[in-house]
Amino acid sequence: MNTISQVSAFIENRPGMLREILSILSEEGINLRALNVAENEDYGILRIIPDNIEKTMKVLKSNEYLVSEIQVCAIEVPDEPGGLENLLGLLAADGVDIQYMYSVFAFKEGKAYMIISAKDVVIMSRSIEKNNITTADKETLGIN
Amino acid sequence: MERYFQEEIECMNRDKLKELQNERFLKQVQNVWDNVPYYKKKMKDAGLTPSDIKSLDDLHKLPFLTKDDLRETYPYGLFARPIKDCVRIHSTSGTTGRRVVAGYTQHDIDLWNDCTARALVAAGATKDDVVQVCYGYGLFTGGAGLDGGSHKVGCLTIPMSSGNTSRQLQFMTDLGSTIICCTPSYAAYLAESIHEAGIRDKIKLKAGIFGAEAWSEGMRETIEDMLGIKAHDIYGLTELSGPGVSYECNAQEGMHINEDHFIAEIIDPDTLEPLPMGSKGELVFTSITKEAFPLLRYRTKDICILNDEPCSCGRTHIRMSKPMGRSDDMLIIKGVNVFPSQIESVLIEKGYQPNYQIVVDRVKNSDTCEVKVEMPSDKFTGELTRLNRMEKELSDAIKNMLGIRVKVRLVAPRSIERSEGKAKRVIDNRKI
Repeated sequence: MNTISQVSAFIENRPGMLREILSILSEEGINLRALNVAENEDYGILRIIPDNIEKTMKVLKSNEYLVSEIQVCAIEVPDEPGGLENLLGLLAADGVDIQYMYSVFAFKEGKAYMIISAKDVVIMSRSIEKNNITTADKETLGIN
Repeated sequence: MERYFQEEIECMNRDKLKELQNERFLKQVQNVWDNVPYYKKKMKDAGLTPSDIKSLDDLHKLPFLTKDDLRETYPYGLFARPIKDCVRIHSTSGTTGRRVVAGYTQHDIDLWNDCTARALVAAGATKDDVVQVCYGYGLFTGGAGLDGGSHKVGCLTIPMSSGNTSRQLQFMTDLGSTIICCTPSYAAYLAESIHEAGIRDKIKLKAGIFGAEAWSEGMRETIEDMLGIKAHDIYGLTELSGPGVSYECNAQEGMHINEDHFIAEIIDPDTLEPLPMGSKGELVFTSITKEAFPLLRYRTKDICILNDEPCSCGRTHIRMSKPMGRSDDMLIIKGVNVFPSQIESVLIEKGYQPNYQIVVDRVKNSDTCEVKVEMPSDKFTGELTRLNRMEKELSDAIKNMLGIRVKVRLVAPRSIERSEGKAKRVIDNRKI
């Protein structure tokens, strides 16, 4: 199973907060492959797959953001109706407990990619290998 | 016509009252000197013996007591009677280990009940009344205090304790309660519930005695209008006995202090010098009849004004204004004493930096409290569910410490405004 780095940042739930963090990234020439915001009433967590992980962590830390880096997996999904559903069926049958999931911006030759995070990475990894589910590597997603 | 519970005392000639106070005060100083080594040492350190205290005019010579003294002497260090003479304990809300416990002899309880009985009669209570006490019963003095007074007057007493609003309303209508005793915020909540349930015409209430937290004249009007009652304020501290240190008569222009039991002073909280009658300052009490737990010159930290003008009700005892604030950082939230340092100690215990802010507000006449906590970078993993768990854990720990539920909200590091490098700890938006 290929893994890629995801950066999570804590942002307060106020107008302009998302734009602020994105402008810091764009000023450094960082491009994003995927983005997701999870929120509750008071704050949100921005999750991004940047093209340059080291630079992203460095610049956000120096701007005093709370950040953390973890490994997630990008599964390849056939770009057709039911494509994702089939894959999720395989994972569910193996007891993979998915925490969250969001899509990658780009897709290639009839393939889409979904970032997926599971409660137990080992169980997910086993299921992915067993079912021959393709996971994207860095080159595929354009990550340095 | 104004009615009294103990007319000969409540309307006592001022000179006679002063004589009575003087006699009781001197006896109390001797009692404390003989039985409380902690205070005896304080007097010695100030170069005093009982013979230096010749009359009430020498009151100002005596050293003060503060909550810190009470904590330092926890649990029995300020008791002037052995356990065999004591029959009851009450305790202030607050931290375990930092609690204050006060002891009572049977005589203390009797006199305390007299005080609350005076308050009840001033609010119109007779033997024909049904008194619903919805203050908490237990360590808190509210329930026991009004309960005892109600018995003394001979009212039919319903010891409801706090909470369970639907049962409160059922008893109120079924038993025909005529007087209610609770916190003003709970009274306002009950009033709203009564209107929502559409049972206003089944309520027989005529008066309420509301204390243990600050409330405004506006809130009084709301409660009086919604329930069609007269709302009376009552004041007290566990350290002195409980509710009934002072209470409001029908004139509703300040609370009469039960001066045959408590001597009030107003001091400047900075210089600690006594201030003349009518000045605004910190209220200090000396209990002159307490046997088990007699406090001399106890600093309440409440800021208020005393008034010795004669009252239209005929009572001669001086009146105190509603407390206008505190000379320390204590907050009273939902009737519970809260020190910011208590919340700070929970944060530190749970591995957080003491970067927090307490925001208190009053929504629909009920206090709300939110604690903003700056999140430490080592605790951030990027999982939302974990953040929610962290908030819940802190909220539970604070509930454990204070007894009230607050909303905990994690915020970004360095996002709480600082003044001179220190985060602003408390924002109180309540309009009281």
